[in-house]
Amino acid sequence: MSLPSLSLEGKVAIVTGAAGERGAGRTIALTFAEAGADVAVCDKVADVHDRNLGARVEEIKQLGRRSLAIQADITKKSDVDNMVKRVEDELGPVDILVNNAGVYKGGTVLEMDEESLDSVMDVNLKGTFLCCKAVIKGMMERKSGNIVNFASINALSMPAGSTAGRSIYAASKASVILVTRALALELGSYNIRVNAIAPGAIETDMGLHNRYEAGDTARPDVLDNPDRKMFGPKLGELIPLGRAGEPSDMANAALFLVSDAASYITGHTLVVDGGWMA
Amino acid sequence: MSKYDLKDKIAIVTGGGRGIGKGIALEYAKVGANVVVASRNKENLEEVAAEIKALGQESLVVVTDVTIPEQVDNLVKQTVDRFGRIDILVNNAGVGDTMRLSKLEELSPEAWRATIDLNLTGTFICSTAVGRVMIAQKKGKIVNISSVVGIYAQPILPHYSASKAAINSLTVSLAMGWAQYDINVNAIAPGSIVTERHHTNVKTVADDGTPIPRLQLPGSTEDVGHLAVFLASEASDHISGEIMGIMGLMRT
Repeated sequence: MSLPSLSLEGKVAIVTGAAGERGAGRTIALTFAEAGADVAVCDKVADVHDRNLGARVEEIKQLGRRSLAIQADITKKSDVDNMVKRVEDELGPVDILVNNAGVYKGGTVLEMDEESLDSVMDVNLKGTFLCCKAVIKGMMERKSGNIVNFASINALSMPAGSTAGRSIYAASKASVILVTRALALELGSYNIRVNAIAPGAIETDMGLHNRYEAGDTARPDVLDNPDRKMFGPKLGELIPLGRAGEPSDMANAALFLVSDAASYITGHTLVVDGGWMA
Repeated sequence: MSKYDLKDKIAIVTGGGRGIGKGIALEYAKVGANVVVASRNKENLEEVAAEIKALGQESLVVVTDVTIPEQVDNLVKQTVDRFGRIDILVNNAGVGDTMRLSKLEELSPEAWRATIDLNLTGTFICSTAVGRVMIAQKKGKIVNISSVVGIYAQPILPHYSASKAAINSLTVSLAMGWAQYDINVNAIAPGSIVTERHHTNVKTVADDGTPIPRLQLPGSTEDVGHLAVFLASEASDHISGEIMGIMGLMRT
């Protein structure tokens, strides 16, 4: 017994930023597959340490669904267009897009140089927008579609305990919220719903990967520790519900938003943060 | 997908005799909850209770004026006596859209007080009475029914808007204060929702014969019910203090 309308049977979904073994993207992809969807997983890297698109595809196939691995840099329009074309050719029309791919780069205003600014905005705003644009044409023709974008609580506030140096990241995620609301308005008459999830702290490896990409060569050692945590115990004291979010918290919210159970909800940014921002 | 069901949960829905409250009570029953319905109108409540029982769930009718603490205490006591605990409270009882004003300056202090009393104080009284049970259980889910006008105030409904805005604030206070007891407190802010009484009047086709897009039409009580299921289920365990809009294209 469950909500009558959570099935994604017969739907095709794309989840970006889904290669990581411990990322929200993977759990979202698997949750959608369990709900009946065929899921294409996309990432900038295909196989770097525990970020492995092929492994994600195998997991989805084990659930009895079709899947497809697509290596694409969402900041490049040609990559994004090719991604959508391949999914349409091999899996069918895209019903659901989850723009999960994103980057965090912290730094005070004096530290954030032009290059850092561009790199964050390129992925979080431009990449999200390009992916939306690429799937929307088909969705408009079919008068049906669902998009979930990933924002952040930093797009709405800097809750107690936030570290400094979030100006560009916060701005990039705030822009995701406003793109979400504007597209919801623009596409609602085509029965395309566009919502966002604003996570607080999620227990993933995103920060560890960021550090590695910034030149922290210690990363593989860290990643070999199965008990590794992004967040220390102090964070639990800051978050009213006493813990960081898990990838499953994001996946549960994403499944609800893309399902028919939420068929009257559009333009909303759902905060999933354990009450941190409240 | 059992994360989204309410199997064997005990829920209280105030204002559960009609409208959105009835819609929520029935959706709860459909996903396995036993539902206590409370309002001032016994006849309405008994009809809803019969529908819940027809869905195979248990129901209890408790005639309650949520502005009177003794009556709310009775609601809590009867629920606990019958079911042993309270997993979910939906604070839905409130004044509907029946008191639209043509002029703000004609709003009487009596009408202002009555609206604040029923919408806001009623929500406060029920939350604290049920909250004490949930604190002892160290677990609970509270869903407050707010409104789009609690976020975007409307000139014709200042008392209603203010009461709903205050419910949003109360939602955040309770969410922060009771998170330590594993109690999630969230609000639903519906836009235009058509209840069964008005459903046949909804125009779904434009004058030129084209269907009006779903998101431009008023929502249904089932729509709100589905969201209320999500916010009462395990799937939303990390969500608290959230004011969740369900308003189609009314405001995005």
